[in-house]
Amino acid sequence: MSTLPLPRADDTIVAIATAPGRGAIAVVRMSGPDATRIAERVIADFSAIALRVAHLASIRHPTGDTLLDHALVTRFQGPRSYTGEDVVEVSVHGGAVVPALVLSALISAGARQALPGEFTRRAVANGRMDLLQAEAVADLVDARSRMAHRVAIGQLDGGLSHRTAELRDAILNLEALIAYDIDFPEEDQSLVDRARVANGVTRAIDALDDLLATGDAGEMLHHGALVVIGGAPNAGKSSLFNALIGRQRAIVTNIPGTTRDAIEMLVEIRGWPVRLVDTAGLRESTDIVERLGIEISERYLADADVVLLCAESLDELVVLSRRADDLTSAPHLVLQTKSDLPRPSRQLEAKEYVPVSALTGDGLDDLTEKISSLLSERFGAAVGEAPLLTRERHRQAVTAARMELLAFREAWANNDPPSSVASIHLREAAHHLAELIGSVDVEDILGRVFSTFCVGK
Amino acid sequence: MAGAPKSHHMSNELDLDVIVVGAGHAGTEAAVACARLGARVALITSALETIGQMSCNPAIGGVAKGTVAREVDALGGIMGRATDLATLQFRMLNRSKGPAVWAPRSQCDRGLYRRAVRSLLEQHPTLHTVQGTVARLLMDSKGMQVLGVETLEGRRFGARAVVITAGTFLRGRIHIGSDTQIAGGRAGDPPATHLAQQLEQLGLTVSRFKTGTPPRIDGRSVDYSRLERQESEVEAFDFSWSHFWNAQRRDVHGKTRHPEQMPCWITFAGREVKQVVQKNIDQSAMYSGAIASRGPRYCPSIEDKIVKFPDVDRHQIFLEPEGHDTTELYVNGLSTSLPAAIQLEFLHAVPGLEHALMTRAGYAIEYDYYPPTQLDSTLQVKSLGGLFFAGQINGTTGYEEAAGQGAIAGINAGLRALGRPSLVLGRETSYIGVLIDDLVTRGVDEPYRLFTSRSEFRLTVRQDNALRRLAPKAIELGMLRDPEVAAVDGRLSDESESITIARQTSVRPSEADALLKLAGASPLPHAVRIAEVAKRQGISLSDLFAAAGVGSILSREAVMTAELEIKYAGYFERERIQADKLRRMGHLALDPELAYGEMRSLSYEARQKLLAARPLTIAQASRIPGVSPSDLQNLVLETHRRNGLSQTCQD
Repeated sequence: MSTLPLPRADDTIVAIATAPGRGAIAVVRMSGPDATRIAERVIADFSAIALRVAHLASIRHPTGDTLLDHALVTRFQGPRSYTGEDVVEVSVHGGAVVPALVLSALISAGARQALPGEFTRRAVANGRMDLLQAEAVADLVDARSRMAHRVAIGQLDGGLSHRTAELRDAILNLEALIAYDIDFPEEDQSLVDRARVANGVTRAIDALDDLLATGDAGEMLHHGALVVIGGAPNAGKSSLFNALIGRQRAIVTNIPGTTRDAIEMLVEIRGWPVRLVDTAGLRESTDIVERLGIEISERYLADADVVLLCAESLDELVVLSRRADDLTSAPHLVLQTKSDLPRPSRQLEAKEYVPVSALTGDGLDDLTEKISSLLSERFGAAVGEAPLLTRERHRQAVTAARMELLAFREAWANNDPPSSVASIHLREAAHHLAELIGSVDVEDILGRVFSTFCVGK
Repeated sequence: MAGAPKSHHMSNELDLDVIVVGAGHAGTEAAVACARLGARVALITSALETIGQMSCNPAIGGVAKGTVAREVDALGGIMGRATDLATLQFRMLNRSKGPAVWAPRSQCDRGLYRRAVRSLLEQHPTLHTVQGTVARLLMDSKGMQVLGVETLEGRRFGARAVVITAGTFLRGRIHIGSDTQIAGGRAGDPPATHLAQQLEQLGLTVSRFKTGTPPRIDGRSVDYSRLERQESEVEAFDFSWSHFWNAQRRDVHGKTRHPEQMPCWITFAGREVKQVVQKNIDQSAMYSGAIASRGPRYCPSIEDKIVKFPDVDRHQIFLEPEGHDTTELYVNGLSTSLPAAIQLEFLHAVPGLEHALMTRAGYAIEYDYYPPTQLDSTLQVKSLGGLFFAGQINGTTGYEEAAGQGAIAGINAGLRALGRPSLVLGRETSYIGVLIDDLVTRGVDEPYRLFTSRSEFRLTVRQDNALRRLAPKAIELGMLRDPEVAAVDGRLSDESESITIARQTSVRPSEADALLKLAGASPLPHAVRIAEVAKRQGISLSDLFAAAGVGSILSREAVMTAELEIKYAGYFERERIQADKLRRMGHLALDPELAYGEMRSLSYEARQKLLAARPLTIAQASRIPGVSPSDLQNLVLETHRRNGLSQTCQD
């Protein structure tokens, strides 16, 4: 826990919006009520630049006449901008020097260096997006796979916001029914049907359960699906690992927190973010692992989304195929790692194993296809069009709402406590969902959400 | 002021602290509140005989309204006392939905009620009643400050504050069918037009609402054999906590002796009524276009019910006695503005009323109201010093809503006249607080009626704890006399003592077994604290006290309140936490001069709404329709920035 000063909301902020390092261009973004006045001091003929059209202009330091760059300048007038304020975006030449000089020029002219997430925070504060959408901006920028990208784009379009708002409304409608029943004890219309309320609550609980079930997929999108390679020593596990990452795009080369003994890589396999783990050199202690002489980490086995069991010799392949279900409850594939070996005995059907050759690359396409379809079975429903819970904050809010609804359902069934009292559970459930979107307790949540942002968003 | 010369040279007949114009449910409470504060007050009404008149249905209380009646009573008002003196049938509504929302309602004898009100007023030595029609307000030379009133009869009264509670009398127009229109504030009474004109000249915005009443019938012409009889609930209930002022009303056992109880009768408007109404709908004042203004959605006319709910085949009707000394019945549920002949036709289509004689025709009435966003939280007109509005002229409907406003306007007019600080009730303290906050911050677009759903404090703001919530404020203001203060203290300490006894006394299995068996609960394994056993379903604290032989001298109502506090402690706590959050946020003050127009981070709509309402707190701002959560965020941020505070956040 830390204390952060709440940034002023009425001054003009500026930051380099692109990643540091060498690059053809970098974007410097400025937002706030004085954006125009400040830009006029730095950008030649700024006032003549048309709105929302890129325009080539020279950039100079406000004091002194040093030419800093020729850059493409785009003006946006609030509220029709990302933040809802006046925004100026300058595409300058990249590298270490030019963006920093332009940034410093704008700061000299009156802008303030933005804090992490401050642009998006202003967008939320100005009603340009809600909290879930703001988080989706972070997810979009951080997306490490096409799948994560697709979900983030859906969320940015308000997918989860709409779903959450719908559920909240459904719960508030139930509360309204109970309130109606209390407020109109003798009206013409029949009293509220008890089954109607009970069914409504059950539907809402089911919907929250469905949403919670997407949490695994949301988690997977952030951290990658865990695909674990195991098998006998010298079965070619490391070669397969290298072949898979060599063939696929390696996204991250170093995952913090992994043990020295296991090697992990984050790769994208047919659109899926995958945490590929080679447990080479590990010999852990479950009996069956011992007996089969399999090298695999128990720790990984428990969490694995897919297990790849490698065998080289015919005998091992036979044993592995027969005992695979004892070894792991996760979906798994048995691989014959050297396809130049003689075909296994006729005791094994070909469909029970996947022949691959790390050396030639034969069978790798087939393997990635099979991994992809296992992941589809595991997460497919969740990563369809429906919105996902992608953060712990979401899971907590939905879980809290669900607990309230369960408590209400029980009270309603027993009429104890009576409806007037029990309906406080409905109010709180709706409150938890509203918090998710950001409709209540805004200050507190804003701080929490934006503490994870980087500068320029 | 223009038009003043006639009385220019005259001196005031009386110089007072406060003048109250109108003696309905708002006016009488306002006058009593002033008198209790020690202010000299004159209550001016066009007819002394109609002080405390129940112009519409003869009942006090109901959902949320019953709580307001008790809140007014806790502040020393007269509504509860008059009801107890006039009740002829009592029911506690919402019994099945939990004691937190129990809603007391009494049908009243109109004549007894009226006489009770007048007699209660006359117990206050500094309260004068005056018959007269107020023609105009006396203003200071700048037209900014009220100095008194002058009546049509030429009588002048000076005062430091004036409370106007004109009800439906300002430019009232009565409609019976599409052809018959009579100027009037109530059937048989003339409207007030001069005052209405002056208020408009003073720059107040005025608008029109309508409301209606049903016909009444001669009970001797009713076939009761076809009706369902609804008896009064046996359990006696007192709206007022304080009956020592009339000790004879209690018998030797301490039970209240209410007037003799009478039954109501239930019938329904079925298909035949529907046909009559549908056939003649073009003759209805409201549907022919003769009345354009909005009426209450919640108390609809029979025309409304039939047009808006065409699928409903039965609309319930209650026949309510008008009093002990008459057979006249009020036909609750058949409010209408159809011509009298049509009213008779559909009355005869109601089972049991085939041969009914109509004593009075129903009518709709259109009247001026002043959009209440022109008032501050004390119900004082923002632009005119010393002028207060209460009741139906603020766009509300209902006796209780009027009484609640009357009490607060009266208290604040009195406090202002006496040079003392004002009183504002928060939403968490009372339904009156919710009502006034809603009125002055949100305004009204249809006649406003209270509901439990308007309050975020349904569990903690209840009819049974009105005294604990509000009486201490009345005591602090010096509105209660010594014996009254003693009575309040006694009642409240009974509550605390009940809770203490329940927490400290155990009940033995042998004592509780019979009770538990009756409630279908499992027997006790050993002696258990009463407070623990009382949390079980269907077990009442008073039964447990009786079983354990304790608390017999405590007041029954106090034990009831204690029971709720014990049974639902966890829930009340959750509601209190929400209340605290709201209060904290609510107390974040907004500068009334805030330049909303320049706050470009607010939506255009929010800027307009905030400029119009100028809320004093974030909580008030949050209840203005059109002000979105992100607008509120900005207001919060802006306020923190201006206060130079740094806000903490967790990560």
